[in-house]
Amino acid sequence: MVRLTIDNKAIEVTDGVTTILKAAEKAHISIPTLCYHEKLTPIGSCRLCLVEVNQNSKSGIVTACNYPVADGMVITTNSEKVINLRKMAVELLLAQCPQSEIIQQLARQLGVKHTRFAVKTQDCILCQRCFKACHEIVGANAIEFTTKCLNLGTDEASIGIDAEKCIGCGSCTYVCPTAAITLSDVGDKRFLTLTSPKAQRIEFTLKQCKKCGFYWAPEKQLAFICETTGQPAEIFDLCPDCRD
Amino acid sequence: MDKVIFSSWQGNIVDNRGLAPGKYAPVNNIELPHEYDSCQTHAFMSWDGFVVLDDTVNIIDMAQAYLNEAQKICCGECSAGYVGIRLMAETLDKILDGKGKQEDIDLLRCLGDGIRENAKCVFGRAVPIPVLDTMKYFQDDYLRLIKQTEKAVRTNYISRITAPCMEACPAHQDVPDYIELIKNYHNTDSLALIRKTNVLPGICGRTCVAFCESKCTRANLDAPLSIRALKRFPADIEATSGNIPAPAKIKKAKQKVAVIGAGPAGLAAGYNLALIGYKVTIYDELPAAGGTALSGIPSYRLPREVIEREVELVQGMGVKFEFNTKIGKNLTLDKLFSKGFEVVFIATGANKGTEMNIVAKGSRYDGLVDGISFLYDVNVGKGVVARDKVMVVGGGNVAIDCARTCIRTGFKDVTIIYRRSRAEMPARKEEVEDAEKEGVKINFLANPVKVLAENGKVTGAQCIRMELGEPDAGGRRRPIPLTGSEFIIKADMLITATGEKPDLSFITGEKSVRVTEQGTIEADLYNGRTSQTAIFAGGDCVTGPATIIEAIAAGNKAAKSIDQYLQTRTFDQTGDRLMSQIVEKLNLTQQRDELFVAQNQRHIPEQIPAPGRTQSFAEVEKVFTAESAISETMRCLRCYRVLLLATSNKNGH
Repeated sequence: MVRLTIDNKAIEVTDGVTTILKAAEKAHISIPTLCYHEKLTPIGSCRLCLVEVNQNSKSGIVTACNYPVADGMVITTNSEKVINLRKMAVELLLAQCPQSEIIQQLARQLGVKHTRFAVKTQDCILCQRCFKACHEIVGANAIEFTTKCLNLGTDEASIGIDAEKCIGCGSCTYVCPTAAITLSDVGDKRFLTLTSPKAQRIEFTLKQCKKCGFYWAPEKQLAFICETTGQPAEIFDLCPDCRD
Repeated sequence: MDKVIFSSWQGNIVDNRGLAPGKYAPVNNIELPHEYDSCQTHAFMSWDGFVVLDDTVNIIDMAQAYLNEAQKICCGECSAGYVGIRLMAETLDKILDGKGKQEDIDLLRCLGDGIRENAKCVFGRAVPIPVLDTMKYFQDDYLRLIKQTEKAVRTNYISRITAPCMEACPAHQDVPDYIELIKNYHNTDSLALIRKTNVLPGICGRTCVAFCESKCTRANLDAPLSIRALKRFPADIEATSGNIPAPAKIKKAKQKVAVIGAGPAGLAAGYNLALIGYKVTIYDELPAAGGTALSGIPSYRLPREVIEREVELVQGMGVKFEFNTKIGKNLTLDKLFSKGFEVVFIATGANKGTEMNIVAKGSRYDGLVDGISFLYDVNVGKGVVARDKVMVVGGGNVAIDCARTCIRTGFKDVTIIYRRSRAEMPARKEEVEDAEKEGVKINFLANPVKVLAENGKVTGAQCIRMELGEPDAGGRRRPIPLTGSEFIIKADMLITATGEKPDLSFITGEKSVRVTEQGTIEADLYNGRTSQTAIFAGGDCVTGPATIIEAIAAGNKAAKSIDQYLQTRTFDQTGDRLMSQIVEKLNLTQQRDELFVAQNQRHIPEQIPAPGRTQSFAEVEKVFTAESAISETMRCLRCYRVLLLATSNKNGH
């Protein structure tokens, strides 16, 4: 049991609640998030969930999604300082991806009408959700997150897809908050499209259900599932609807 | 320091503007030379403020250049750092180009405040600090720039990007970035980055003393990162994958360079010279490469195949090896030059054991051996036959290696005798503990004074108790013998591991180099130059017994200056040396904004349990699991520091 205070509200959380964000959720205190996804390791890249923490007579600004709770911690989620920093954080996101609906919506909630910065229009904000999903949930390890590295000559951070490893499952498109990665099925083909930082389009062949004729999943994904679970390939001859 | 016009270093403002030079207040928290060689320094800017020495510098231009440098290492892990710092640099650029408006200044301040509080890493949060200082204390300069429409004159600066761990490492390895690459599953890239400054990651990932860890910012918060173990992780992944790394691109240079000694210094120099295209031949008296890593480090700490693999990589770069060749016997220094080598790099190490004053000079006993020879016999030589009771004299890593090797070769009773106490032991703490877990006993505050023998065979030693007196020049408390405390220890073997020194008997002839009173080669630690123009030296033969990473660093530096010498016949490194002198006096972990970081436990790699492991020479420490490696990388605070220096040539350039 951990006892802490959030916005002057005394809260007790059980050992399963490990982060400030989760503790705030329990107390029905809302903290804006963007890169956070409950199924993924917290990333802390968007900086929107920042809060002010007082602990052991020290204080600091931390991201709620990945900062661990501790007994006696005093957290402020809505001070003027916190609000102003959040506004700046959302302005920086707007400066990268002004057309994103979710970012516009977050900006409106925080009272930011527009960004004062020169806008660099792109879809990807390097939140890394797709990268984490591909490695932590899917296990295909196809999405690469490359950071800038001076001594290797990498002068730009980017998200990229290793077409060979990608199984076309679409988990990345599901978690992408800004639609930088999208998916479309046309006939027996699936297209996975990454718009930025570098444009990429990968084509997959879809498997047809032997009964209803529906093109229901990428062959590569089904092969991947067979390989990782040891199931025979025949179980995917039929789509889930026709199977029972 | 005196004669400073303005300083905001660490947030302590000293503002002497408008005062007569005689009335200047001093600056006490930073030391910068006004002059260095042909260089005159004008201003310095870094993570915790800036210092202005004269009025020749446009501080806003400097702030912009500082942000440009900082941008090079804005990794992309958070938008505050990646986007925010770029926007700050662009805004300052606009102001300097005469296109700035008042609102740009407000925007810059807002950005700076936001990044300082909310960037993800220590580096990102510190970047705006000196820029915000310029805005606060040089407001008039900004207003003047806003009013004018013409472009300001832009200048070049000397810069260095470093970090506490990088600066502590003799080879200045780019630790934060290679850790970051591991975190993002780019193990191959991480290894490629490590190899830029360290050609022996598998060896160092197991045996390095890790100066980096002692300076890690986290050491003051909870525990330093396990940097050494993290380095081993990508190296082992590559090794188990069986992939041979693609040889790095070779540039075009044609001259022949001879390297004497295939230890860490020689291998590092050879690899880096081969990268530039030089035809390198490495000579060694041993039958294989590795130097002290091979002959001195037991395989339970460093398996032989790890050395072989890393040597193969050097070979793959086209470096030739001539083994079983002792320079000085058939081949002399002079002969190397007549064979067409234009430069010789001496890296012969320090592998001669020092004699203890416990026997009559020159007399030999069965069972009396120095540590270096003992380890040589076990690792590459004729092997040793275990006896019952052995006494190892000394408190360094060689003594520990000898003792643990004795345990594994079947000695029944292994005791280390050390003249100081545990706290003064120069051996790595973990190694001492490991030895004790394996059954090694340590007799502190005692020293042998005389070998006891029967029929030329060691039976023990007469020893004396010691107490600790005043600290000596090295800072360790001096051991003083306690009169009348003599006692006898029985032993079948006595191993003296009380220091090593270089064997310089090959330094003869026309091309000989100057040697110091300590019996080491006199050479510039910065570039390896000796008293002979075409002879360079580095590693233990210059420093005396030191560490593998120091030897690698010496090899790297020598390769760089050998290249500079062969291409230009010059050795100009003034800017670099000046920067090093400044960095040396800075505490890179200190900063005005207090760190607020959650405690996070250090991961350490697993070991084979102690009782079983002494039965063989199997490697004791395991490699990190992927899970522990990734969790450990998350602990890195990424404390990069950008240093910028405004200088000019005194001769008016």
